[in-house]
Amino acid sequence: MIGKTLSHFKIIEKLGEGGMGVVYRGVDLDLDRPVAIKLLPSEAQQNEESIARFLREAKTASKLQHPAITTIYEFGIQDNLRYLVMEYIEGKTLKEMLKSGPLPILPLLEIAIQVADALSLADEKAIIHRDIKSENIMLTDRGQVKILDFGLAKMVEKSGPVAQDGFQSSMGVVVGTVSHMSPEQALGAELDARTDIYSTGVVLFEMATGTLPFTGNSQSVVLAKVLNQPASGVADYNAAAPPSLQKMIAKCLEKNREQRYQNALSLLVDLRAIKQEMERAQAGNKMVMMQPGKDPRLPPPSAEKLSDLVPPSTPVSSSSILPTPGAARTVPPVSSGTASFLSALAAQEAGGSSQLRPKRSWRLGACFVLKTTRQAIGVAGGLFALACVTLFSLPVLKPEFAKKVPGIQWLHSAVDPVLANVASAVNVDFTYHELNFLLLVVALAAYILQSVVSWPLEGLESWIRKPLLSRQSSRGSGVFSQATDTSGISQATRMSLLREYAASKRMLSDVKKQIAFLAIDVVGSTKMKLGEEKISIEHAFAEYKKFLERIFHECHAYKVAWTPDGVMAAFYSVEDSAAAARKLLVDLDWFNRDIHQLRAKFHVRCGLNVGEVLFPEDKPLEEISDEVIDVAGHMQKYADPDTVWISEEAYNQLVERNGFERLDRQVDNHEVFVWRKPS
Amino acid sequence: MPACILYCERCNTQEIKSLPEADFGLLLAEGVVRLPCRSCEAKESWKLVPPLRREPRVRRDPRPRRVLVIDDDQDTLRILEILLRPEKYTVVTAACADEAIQKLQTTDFDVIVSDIRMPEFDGRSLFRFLIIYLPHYAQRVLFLTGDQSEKTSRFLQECGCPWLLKPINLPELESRIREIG
Repeated sequence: MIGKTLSHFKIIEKLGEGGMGVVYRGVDLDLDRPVAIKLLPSEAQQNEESIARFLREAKTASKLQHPAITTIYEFGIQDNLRYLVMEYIEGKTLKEMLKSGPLPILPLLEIAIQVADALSLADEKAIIHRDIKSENIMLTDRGQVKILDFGLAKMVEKSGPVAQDGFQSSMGVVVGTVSHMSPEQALGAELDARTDIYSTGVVLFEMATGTLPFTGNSQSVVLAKVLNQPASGVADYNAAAPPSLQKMIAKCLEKNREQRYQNALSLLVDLRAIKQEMERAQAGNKMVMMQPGKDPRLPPPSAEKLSDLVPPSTPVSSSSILPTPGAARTVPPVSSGTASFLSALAAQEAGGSSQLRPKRSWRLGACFVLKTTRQAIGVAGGLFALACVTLFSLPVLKPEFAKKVPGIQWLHSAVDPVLANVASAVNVDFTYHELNFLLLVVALAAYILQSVVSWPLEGLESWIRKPLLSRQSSRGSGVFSQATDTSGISQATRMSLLREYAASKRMLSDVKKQIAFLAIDVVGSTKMKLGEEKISIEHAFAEYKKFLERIFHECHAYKVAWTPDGVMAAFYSVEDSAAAARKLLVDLDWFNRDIHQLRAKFHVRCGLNVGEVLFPEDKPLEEISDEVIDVAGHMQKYADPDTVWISEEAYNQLVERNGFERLDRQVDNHEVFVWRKPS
Repeated sequence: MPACILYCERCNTQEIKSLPEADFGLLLAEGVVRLPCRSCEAKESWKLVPPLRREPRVRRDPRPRRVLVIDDDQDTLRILEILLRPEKYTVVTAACADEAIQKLQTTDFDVIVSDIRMPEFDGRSLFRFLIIYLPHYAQRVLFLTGDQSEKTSRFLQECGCPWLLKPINLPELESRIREIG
């Protein structure tokens, strides 16, 4: 085959041979780039199943576009030869790299993250690899992981049973590599993405220890161990492996797939968490490091977590790795992890300080009883009043008809005793032309009575219900509702969202103040100090500071922050800040002439910006960080010596604009105006 | 005022509090308010309890992910619109929080990719607003920022959201989007 050309790909040399194909290095004659060409072995070219499998490889792999998955360029048939052209990867397989022993933890995690990320994409496309092993993972010179051979992958049906793999059933071959095979794969069971989790666990084990979790003289021995024996602990081989990584690998290698990571995404998230915590632990108590992708599932480095990362001197048992039940209480709520938050919540509840979930049952029960009672009183009073009115109206009808009204006896039996009691009590005749007006009086009294009784009951019910209502509303705005996977906000929330946002924006604006910031820097301050006596420099800069302080005082500066050579001053008014800047530039001549004795003169550049900033009275300017301040600083940075650059926002607020000119440039997307010292 | 779930920075006590307007504004601006704590028996700093992270789940929905990108830099918006290809993502852009809220009012999104430093209502305040009013969206925020100031670093460490630094690394961005949902 060497030297043969398939389409526009020329075969250069044979790279290797696997069960399902021979791989050659080739070259793309059109684009002049190296490629890998995979050919079905000649005996398999006639085998329909092999061909179907080969085709499936091409289709499957081409669906996955990921930096860690080999790119498929072309699939074709020529002279009855089926070939697949892939990206040619220059690098080493992980297997080759592991010959020199286990990998350091951080590179290990970096490789594992790339593998898990690629598998998470495959998972999303319902594709399983089925043969993840160190030989199938390559590392390029730039550290990019490439997973080879998605050819064994098979599509997982989204519903219904997984289709039986033809290759597997007809040829009686279990696909995969025994040492990396999951127990369910070894048993020929239906596979899902969790088989790749297991195989990735084996690779992780290899990377951490330099050996396989199950070894033996023959494949059947290995297979027996895969099926029956628990994997050795990583710590048995590498005591430096952090316990969190050991736990993760053990979880991947669970025989029961229900106890493994259920998807590659979960594994990925935990890998990132371990990596980040390791980096944080290494950073120690230094300044906060920016590390992309803080993992949200794990808490910030609590003492417990950090101790997890310290390599144990002796092998760690699984029980010592597990957090103690009381540990959740120590987890700060900023942890933001599901588990940590829930455990913190559980701990709170167990501790009896159930501020978030007080016992609601008695309130609900009391509300129910009160509401039922109130409604019953209301209905009874209303019916009684209606009955009275009905009886009052009956004489209007003809007597023979009135007797035939259904249920009239019931009304009489309910109303008459009350009526008799009232009549005897008041001892006044309310009858007029056969109409008994006492019935109307009783009806009215019944209605008023039920209202009077219901009113305090309603108040009592509202009082009991109030805490429940506030809690329910907070559910919609708090963490509890987050467990539900709502795809969108409720209609009611949508309706009020803009109003709530407008109110929030107003409140946010209310706590901010309109402040102008003036940044001043001495031009070439380092050069100025060259060749000068230290005492002269110190004296000159001390005088300069006094000079500036006087100007700031005159121009009513709100707060000032000093750096070795520069200064940032905050003003309540743009006018004052601009006046300070102009005064500084003008008076600097006098200062240079009369005050200090350095050879080089003081020259400054100024930047000015204005905006709304949250600036509490009790905070020094040094502790305030805001974009408005940054823009002032950037204006100053780009300004020419002896000029003031101000943003358009500041310029628009100025009353005294004489001498300002628009510049044909922008700083941080702000138009710039300049004021130059008059010559 | 809406009830906010806050925790005391000192003793970690969590409480639901309805804040006065000034405190609510401070909470949105700085993420912290000074309130008395019954456990500490003193005035302490209270912060919003960050949203729960959802368990990672494999998305099998073949439809493109709906992504809301919020950034005051038009170039970033344009780049993301180009990079996040339409067969995989439906990208809606917003140049500020005002626009973002308008979009959130009318459309559902799977992921919100937000800048942090923006004029007026910045990414931090928007995130806090989401925690209070739309907590399920607070779980879906991915921060993409070029700001490496200490204030932003501290916020990112505490917020519990995935984040990336500019310049945009597409595979990393896609991976983080996948992580969210």
